[in-house]
Parts: sequence; C-alpha cells; structure tokens
Amino acid sequence: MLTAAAHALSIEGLSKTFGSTRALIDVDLQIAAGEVHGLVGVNGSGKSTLIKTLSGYVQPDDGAVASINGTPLRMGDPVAAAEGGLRFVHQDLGLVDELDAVDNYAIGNGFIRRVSGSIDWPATRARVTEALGELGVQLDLRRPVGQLSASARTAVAVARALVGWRDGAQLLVLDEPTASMPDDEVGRLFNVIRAVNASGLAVIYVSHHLDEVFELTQHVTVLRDGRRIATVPTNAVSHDELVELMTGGVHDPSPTSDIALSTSSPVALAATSISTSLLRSIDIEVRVGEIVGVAGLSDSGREHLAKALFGAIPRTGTVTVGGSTVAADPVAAIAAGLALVPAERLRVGLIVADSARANLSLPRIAAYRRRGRLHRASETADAAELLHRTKVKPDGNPERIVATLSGGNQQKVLLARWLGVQPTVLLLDEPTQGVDISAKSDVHRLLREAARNGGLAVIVCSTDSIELAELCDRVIVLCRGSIDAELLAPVSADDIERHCLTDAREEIRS
Amino acid sequence: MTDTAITAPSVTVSAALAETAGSGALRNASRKVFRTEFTALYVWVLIIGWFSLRIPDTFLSTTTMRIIMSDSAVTGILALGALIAFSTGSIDLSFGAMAGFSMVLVAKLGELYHVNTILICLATFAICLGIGGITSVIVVRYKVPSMIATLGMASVLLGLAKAITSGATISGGTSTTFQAFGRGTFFGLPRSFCYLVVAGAVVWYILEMLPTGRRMFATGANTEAARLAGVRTSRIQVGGLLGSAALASFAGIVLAAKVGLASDSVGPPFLLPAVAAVFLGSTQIKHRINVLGTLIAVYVLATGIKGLQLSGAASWVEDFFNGAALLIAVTLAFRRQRQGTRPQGAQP
Ligand SMILES: Nc1ncnc2c1ncn2[C@@H]1O[C@H](COP(=O)(O)OP(=O)(O)OP(=O)(O)O)[C@@H](O)[C@H]1O
Ligand SMILES: [Mg+2]
Repeated sequence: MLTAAAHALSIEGLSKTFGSTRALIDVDLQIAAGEVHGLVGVNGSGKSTLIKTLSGYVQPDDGAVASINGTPLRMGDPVAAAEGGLRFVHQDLGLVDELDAVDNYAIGNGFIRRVSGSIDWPATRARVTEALGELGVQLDLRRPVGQLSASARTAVAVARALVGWRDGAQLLVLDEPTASMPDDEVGRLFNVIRAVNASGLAVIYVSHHLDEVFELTQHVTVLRDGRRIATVPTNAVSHDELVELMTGGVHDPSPTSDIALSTSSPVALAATSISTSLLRSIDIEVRVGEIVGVAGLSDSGREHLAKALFGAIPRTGTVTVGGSTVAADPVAAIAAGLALVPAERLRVGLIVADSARANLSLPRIAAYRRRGRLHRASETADAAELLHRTKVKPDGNPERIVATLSGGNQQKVLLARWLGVQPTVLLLDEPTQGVDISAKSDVHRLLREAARNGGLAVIVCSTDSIELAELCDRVIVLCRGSIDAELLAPVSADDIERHCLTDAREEIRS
Repeated sequence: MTDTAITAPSVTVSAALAETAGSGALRNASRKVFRTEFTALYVWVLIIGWFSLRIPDTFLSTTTMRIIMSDSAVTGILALGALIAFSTGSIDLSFGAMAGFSMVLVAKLGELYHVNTILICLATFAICLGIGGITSVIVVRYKVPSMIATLGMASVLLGLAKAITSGATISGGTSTTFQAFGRGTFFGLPRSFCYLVVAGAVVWYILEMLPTGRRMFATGANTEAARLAGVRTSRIQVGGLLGSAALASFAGIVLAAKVGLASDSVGPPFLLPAVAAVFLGSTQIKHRINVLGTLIAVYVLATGIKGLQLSGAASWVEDFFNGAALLIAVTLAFRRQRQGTRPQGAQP
C-alpha cells in the first residue's frame, strides 16, 4: 500500500443512513494517484450514494475522514469538493433540461469572456464544439438538452465535468456514463478518459458493464449492501470472480429457456413507412412471441423507433396491431395493447416524487375504480406483487418514494409498470440501462417467458449489443434512418457491433 | 437484508409495511408528527389558547366564531380552486381578480335585468368559465407559462371589473332572496361555510378518491411522463384552470350575496391568503398539496388575524401576517422537498 499522501483520494469510515436504510456502512476507499479505479456492485449497493457524499450533494453520517492528495476534504460540502479538484458526472447527469448544450457546458465557469467581461459567444460555442468533438459527438448546440438523446446528454455532462481540468482537477468521477451509449461513443469516451488519466488525473469509474471495468481500470472496489467487500487489482480477478464478489454468490446465469418460435405465429404488430426527423420510411413486423432487437449508432433512428411506434413523438406512416390501425397517440396506443418503456426514465418515464405504487398503477388507474372510487387495497397488492416479481430492492415497499430508490431499481419499477399492463406488444428503449448484471438476466428471463409463454411481442432498441445478442430472435440494424441489415439468431454481440460500425465508416466516407 | 429480499420478498414487503404501522417505528412516526405533519393544528391550538386568555370576552364569543367561519369561507373556496390548478402543474394568479369580476358582474346583471336570480348567477358563471377557457387555451395550446398568462388575465379582469362599476359601488343589484343565498344559515352554520365544506368534500373526492385525481397529480409532477403513461395531459391542464375559474366565479357570487354591495376592489386581496393557505397546507398531513391541509391552513391564518384585530392591532397586521405565513410555508415546503427527494436536479 502506498502512503496516504500519495493517494489521489482517501476515505475512511464513511457511513450514510437514510431513515432505516443503511446505504453505506463504514466504507474505506483509497484511490492511488494517477489510476483509473473501478467501483462496482449490484443495484442499491451504495455506489451513487458514495459519490454523492463526495460531491457534497448528500451529507454523510458523522465520523468520515477524507483527503485529496493528503489535503483534508470536508465531505458533504459541494464547495469544498469543487475547490479540492473533484469533478463529477452523476448518474442522473444533473443537466438543466431547458438550457442548450452551450449553457449547460459553460454554466459553471466555462464561458469565454471578452476583455470587457461580456461573454464571447462564438469562442464559447467553438470550445463546446471541440470538447464534444473529442467525445465524438456532434449535436445541435441550440436545442435544449432536454430534447437530445440520452448519449448526447451524457456527452454534454462529461464535457462539462472536464472544463478546464488542467487547472487543478485531481479526480474525475463517472457514475455509469455508458448506460445508454452506443459502442463507438463508448470507445471515444474511453480515449478521452485515457488521455486525461495519462496527464495525471485519477478517475473513479462506475459501471455495470464489467467488460468496460476490465478494459479501463487498474483496481476495482466492490460494494455489497453498503459495505466494501474487496479492493483488488483488476488483472488479478476474473469476470466470474468479480460477479461472485458483487452478488455474494446468488447470481444464477442459467441460460434462457429456449422454446423455438413457432413459424406459424401471427403478426402482432406491423408498421409501414414510419418516418420521423430521423427515421426514413421504415417497415417493421413483429410476430406473436417474437423478440426483435434494434441496433444502431446515435442518430441512426434507433432512439426514435420505439417512441414513434407508440406515438410519443410526431410520426408519419401506419401502425397496425392485430389488424387494426393505431393512431399516433399514447392513449390510443395503450388502448390497442402497446406499451413503451422510454429510454429517459427520470425525464419521461417515472414520477420520482411519487410512490412506487402510484407510478405502477398510473397507466391503468381507471381499472382500480370500484363503486365510484379507487380501490387502494388491490392497487397496493398489485404493486407489491410487481415489485416482488422484478425484485426491486431494498424492500419492495409499494409506498417507497421512487426518488429514494437506486438508479437500477428505478429502472426495474419502470419495467414492472409496463409488464403489469399486460400489453400485446412491448416497446423497449434501453430497457436494462443501469440494471446490474444479475438483475439483467432476471429481466431477460422474464421477457423471454412473457414472449414465449404469454404471447407477448417485443421490440428492444438498445445500445447494448450483448443484450441484443442474448435476448433477440432477430436484430435489425439501423443506419441513417433506414434498415441496413437484418441478423437472425444466433447472432453475436460482435456481429451487431461490426454492422453498426461498418455503417458508420461508410457514412463518413460518403 | 438484500439477500432475504431475493429469497423471500413477500415476507420483507409485509415486514416493511408492518414496520411503518407497528410499534417499531413509533418513535420515528411521532417525531415526524411533531415535526411537520400536523404542526398547523398545534399552532392553531396555541393561537386559540393565547387569545382566549388575552381577550376572552371578545374572542371567545359565538359571534367571533361565526365571523371567522363565514369570512374565511370565501378564501377557502378560492384556495380550493387554486389547489386544483396547482395540482395539475399550473399556477393561477388570476382567481382573486376573477372572484372580484364575478362579484361585480352578478351585481350589475342583477341591477340591469330584473329576471330570475338563478338565471343571473348562471350567466355570470358561464361568462367566467368562458374567460377561464381563454386562459387555458393560452396556457395549454400556446404553451405560455401559466403564471404569466394568469397574471395578464388578472389585470384584464380587474380592468373589466372597473369598467362595469365605473368606479362606483353597485348597491341595487342584489335582491333579498339573493342575499339570503349568502347570508343565511344551515343548521345554525353560516351558509358560506357550508358551501366551503361541500366544495371541499367534492374537490377532496376528486383528488384523492378518483382516477382523475391521480392523473392530475401525475400531470402536475411530470407532464411528459404522465402523457406517455396514457394520461390526456392537455385535457387535465385545461380542467385544472377551468376548475379554478369555476370556484373563483362561485366565490365571487357568494361574496356579492354576503356583502350585498359590489365594488371592484374586493376580489384581488383574496389572492395572497388563498395561495398562502395552499402552500401552508402542502406542509401538512401529506407530503404534497391537499384539501384538508389547505382548509386547516385557511382557518389557522384567519383565527390568528381575527385575534390580532380584536386585540386592537392596526390594519397592516393582516397583510403582514398573510405574507409572512406564505414565506414561511413556501420555505418549509421547498426545504422538505430537497430533503425528501432527489438531492440534485431542478425543483418543479
Ligand atoms: N434519498 C434517499 N432516501 C432513502 N434511501 C435512499 C436515498 N438515496 C438512496 N437510498 C438508498 O440507498 C441505497 C443505495 O443506493 P445507491 O443509489 O447508492 O445505489 P447504487 O449502488 O448507485 O445502485 P445502482 O446501481 O442501482 O445505481 C439504496 O437502497 C437506496 O434505496
Ligand atoms: Mg447508482
């Protein structure tokens, strides 16, 4: 072990209690100078809470001691964290939706000023373009970030965290930055991380994608139930050992049941000439019991397809379910048996200030009306059953406010809501973003079962090629708004990735 | 704990439910109660106790009680309207002016046309709803922030009210039957108070017992999420503003009947105490705006102000007291919101 002075960050005795939940219990953490340190653990293990105590958004319990390069740091104080040189990309990004990328980027101290003190807009805009360019992202700088795709929003947050990092930044902390990011952008994000790391900036990297942790980090710390279970050199553990450490051995990666899809299965959803600002006249069909994946890079249309079919965004073209046409409107879509799990769970998915129960029952709240009033008991019972089925932690209490759940557990609540509606066609956009590795296979199993035994038709749009390979009977690759390839199972993650990236390269050449 | 959640979640669920209700969390629960949930009730008891000791003769009379009940009823009805709009995410700043407009309109119509009083009330109500409809089109269709749209509409309504009265008080517009509508009693209780109770019960039922109420709160909390969950959010938002307009118009009619005279300066001062009551009420009973909390808040404020007035306090006290209550209530509400939910991110 190195001496304390050589640590970029040292934390001792960190605990955090929320009411009856002990989110962190006496955690010690040492980050060596200049290293990339992975932080892993299943959903609700305390990763984000640890990071929020560092950034000062959450006040830790008494007794925690921390230092940055040997200089004491007062935890739970945002100003001290910023002055100490800590930079953050939080799990929920913390962007101001109404402002554009330039304002979000520059709002801290990223504005370039003229001699007179006024903002030099052209220079500031050029700087933002350059910072985003390094991350391989081009976007409309004038659009409010609330309208950008999930991965574009992440890029803005990462760029902002790195504003002026050469002047005194000590540690960059990234909480699941790649949860909904296409592979090519992940690659470029890694290049940026490696570059800043090579110049001496230490990095804490949180992810449920363990391959990324292996690729990027030198040490990895495992949290379980708020305790630090281990800190090990990354090259000294195997993937399975790491999973074992995270889950405590309860992970069951049993393969998904493989009942073959009947070839005579009828068409559940047929869509023709679907167009949006990104999609160009797409035709797509899903059969009863079939799971169709949709892959594609940013702006390929992947991020629009599920929303367009549901009528959540303006579209042209026709969607038919069970033979009858469905209007481009969420109410009509739900009535026709469609369900949409949108990619941005906090912005357009959940009502975080409400209880899990109220969130779960919202789309079918009218069904709970008995004798002129809401029947609370059956609403609560259904909610408890759904939370149990999707294993929402820490307690499956229907009255728990969604904002107090960890990110992955919020995602499970969103999935549970739409599974509970018992749709005929389930449209999923990044369904398992932020969900841990063992919960992810649970979700996949749940979906396979619902598809094969329950006759559910599923469309999964995802940036996670491994997920698509594992889950789907057929994967459609989108490129510049059109269908570019159709891959039949068995298909490997590499195949999908290769198709997406080849398309991207052709795009650059043309 | 987490491991048991995997093997036996149903047990954990029921255990967690039992914990909130059972003795294990008694200490926790009582701490909560003493902190925020019912503080207005304690404050109320303190206010009543204080003035009962200081000025027992004037304060503890049935007349005083009745005056508090009936004077604040109009504030209460207006607060219920504001609450409906708030719950759907709109901030209505026009309901005070709307009540004033409704009051002078009903009196003027009564003065001009000697037809059935009910007809005159219905005409007034319809005109007010029409104006509320215009506001909601501006807000929902053209996406003007509700605060700005209703602020503008408040000024328009005040202007219209002044045009109707031409600066004078309308005194000939209310028949005795009409006045009875606002002044009489039911079972010994002031009529206006009874209207408040009925309106409160209806609003409570809609918000807490019907699917519509869920849709309203969902729309108010996250409009896009509600829309994607199949809520017709535009309809809900229009309904929220129309509900506010309807109750404001009703309050104005009650006011005209109670006072018997109508002038254009009566309505607007109701805005602040009603808004204060909604916010103060949102710190009570539930962790969001709610009917019972609002009604309690209305009466806590009214009791305090009446007591001060009876003790001979100057006229500035009322404004000061209401304003201070609003500031304290909003501070409490926002502080709790920050503690309770997401640590970062914008407040609604
Ligand atoms: N504001 C809060 N109030 C109450 N409990 C909370 C609050 N924030 C977090 N928790 C609880 O603390 C625990 C740890 O949550 P945390 O968000 O740190 O998990 P995480 O490791 O980041 O999980 P994920 O991988 O799902 O993001 C969870 O049980 C969560 O429910
Ligand atoms: Mg987290």
